[in-house]
Amino acid sequence: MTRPAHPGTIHYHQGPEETLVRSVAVADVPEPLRYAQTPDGEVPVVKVVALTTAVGLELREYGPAGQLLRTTLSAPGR
Amino acid sequence: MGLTGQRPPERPALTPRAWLDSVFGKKANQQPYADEFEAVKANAQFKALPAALQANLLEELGRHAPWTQGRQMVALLGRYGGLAGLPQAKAQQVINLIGGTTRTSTHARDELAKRLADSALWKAAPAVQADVLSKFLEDPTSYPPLSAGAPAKLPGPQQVSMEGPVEVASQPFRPGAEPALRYDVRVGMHRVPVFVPKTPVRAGLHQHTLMQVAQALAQLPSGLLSRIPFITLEAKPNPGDDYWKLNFANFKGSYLTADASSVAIHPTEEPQSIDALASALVHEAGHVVSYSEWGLSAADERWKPWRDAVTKDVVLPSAYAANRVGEDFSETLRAYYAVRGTPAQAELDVLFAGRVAVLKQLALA
Repeated sequence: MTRPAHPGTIHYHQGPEETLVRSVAVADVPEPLRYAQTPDGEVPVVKVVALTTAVGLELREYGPAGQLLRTTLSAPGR
Repeated sequence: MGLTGQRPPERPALTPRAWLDSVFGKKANQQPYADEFEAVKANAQFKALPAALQANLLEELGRHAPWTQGRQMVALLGRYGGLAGLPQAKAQQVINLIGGTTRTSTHARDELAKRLADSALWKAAPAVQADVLSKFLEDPTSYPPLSAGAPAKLPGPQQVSMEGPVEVASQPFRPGAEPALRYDVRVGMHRVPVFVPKTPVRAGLHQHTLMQVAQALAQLPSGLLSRIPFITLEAKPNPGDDYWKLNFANFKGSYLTADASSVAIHPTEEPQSIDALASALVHEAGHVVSYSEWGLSAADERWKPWRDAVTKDVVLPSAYAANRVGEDFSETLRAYYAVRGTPAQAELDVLFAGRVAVLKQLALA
């Protein structure tokens, strides 16, 4: 399956209001974080939102259509 | 003052407890009834309520021991004229909110006691009294989320067994594909494949053992187990960790990652408990379920039943659930499975009636 072209930028946001922290050219983002695997093939990650849980952060990675691609729960803090 | 009388309670002292003492007396032997159960049934306001509300009140009353603050507040609500002035569904929401034994109900009782602790209010017209209850319901600060958010221990584990290993020449892990061993963890009727790389875990990091993963899976309910396609027990940290630590100051490294097809467990700098793993697995597996059932975007029309349920059930499962409707789904699962099979489940079945109905359709409750 062909990998679709990436729109070019990944935006990093923090909190439920999605405050923009920074925007980074995809070329400057590590390769494993540029795309996410879905049942329909690879999809570009264009937005990452960090939300604070009771035990740490949860990172939510989104695709160009606003679809949630992947979630990562951080290690519980000590 | 007799409990069947129509006179309002005296204006309270400083606390809900003191106010209730002023209404009910401090000692059981000061009362004309054996307990609040008999007292509320004899009350004229209570007798005027629809049968469903009466039953609802008595059920909630029964959750509390005699002469406790919880029981007294339910009894007091039963003789408050404002209850009859609310639409029945709203009246039931008020009763369910203050009647339970959860963190939400305990706080809600104190909050409602403060609002009702006004002798002038007890003399006011029914519409004015009902308005106080409406405002109570409309104010989400009156009833906090069900859980403070910390991982909750799940009820007793099921029997678990393991099959394998089977050699896998090339299994995708987060950093890339490599040779692995496949084990099948069997819990009840379900089998969850767990892939373990042959590469050892990096020195200084802590990873769950296969047995710990099996023990955590044994705490998960059947409906959720069947929705986890497979688990990877990663040997190396998530390849995005260093970069994310640069972007998000509080990020301490990945623990679990979920997408539509799998859940990855990453090694961490500190050892994690089996209960923490089980709780995190419920949350992340919840994402896997919701992605596959309703699509990757919460704007998808298939999410509507859950969105409607969240609107209908006024209580949140946790503060974190307020962030996104998808998080509400995962946090509901965590809250629900923490009490599944215990007496508290009946309370959640009522407080989360809308959500539980959807979970039942998905064979998750």
